[in-house]
Amino acid sequence: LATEFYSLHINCGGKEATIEGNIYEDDTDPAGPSRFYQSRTNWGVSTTGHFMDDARSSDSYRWTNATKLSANTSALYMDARLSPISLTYYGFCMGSGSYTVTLHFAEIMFTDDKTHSSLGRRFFDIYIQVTDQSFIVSFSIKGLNENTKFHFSFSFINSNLTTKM
Amino acid sequence: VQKDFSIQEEAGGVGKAIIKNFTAIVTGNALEIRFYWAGKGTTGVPVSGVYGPLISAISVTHGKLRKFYELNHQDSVRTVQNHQCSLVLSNLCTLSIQMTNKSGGHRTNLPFLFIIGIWEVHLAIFTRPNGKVSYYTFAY
Repeated sequence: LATEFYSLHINCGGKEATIEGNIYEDDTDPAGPSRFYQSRTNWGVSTTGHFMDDARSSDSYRWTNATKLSANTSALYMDARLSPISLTYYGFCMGSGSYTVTLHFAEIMFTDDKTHSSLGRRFFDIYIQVTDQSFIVSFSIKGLNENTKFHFSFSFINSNLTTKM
Repeated sequence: VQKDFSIQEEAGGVGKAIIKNFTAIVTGNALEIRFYWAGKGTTGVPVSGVYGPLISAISVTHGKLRKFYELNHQDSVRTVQNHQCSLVLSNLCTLSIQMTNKSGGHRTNLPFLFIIGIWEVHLAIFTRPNGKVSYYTFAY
């Protein structure tokens, strides 16, 4: 049987960091317009899209903060993962159950000074477990028929997940 | 779970951390967390091509799984009847035992997994590894 994981810690866009006893794993893959990266543990990340009209020399799917951050655990916030269109993190081999998903954000590309950089506004949507929630449990009953398989399919209603926030 | 998320608005400015907690249920061994550009906001500040989702870190921890019974196969139905989910669970027990008997009484089959939604968010899982009966609830 494969190992099941019951937690996941990623320092998105940054190097491995230990915060409050948890090891936030390295996520420094350069990524790209159509890129899937699988970690050596139990997660992967997918980025899609080109940064259109990019004034930077090359598309960057990571960003490192250049200014001082007002956060105690700044190691998590110094680097961030970017993507122009979609950015998806997958957790694999997770044991069944209920999980608390904690997302850490800090806007590190805009400034709060008097320059035009302070005018930047960023909006994006967050989805958790939004793909088709149906899954299949299959097992066989040996005494009945070696080849008999029963498939139980069960669908979550998406609104269930949202109303529990 | 959240549309038009703005880090600045949530955190009250730039360079400030904001932590958001969500609950997710994993049933098929996979967890998916997706960020999608909302097609709004600026695209040219401070330079062209600055837009799209930004995430600093992700932490996922197992939640309120409570294992409240691990019983022998023989007395599982009787013992569990005192519990809040007794009716449903005992029905499940009976069902699974019947299925086992029909199949020739083998007790080494793969675990049976039953999930039932009671009200909005109450799940019960019944597994039977190695002849043992286990009950789990997720309570929210």
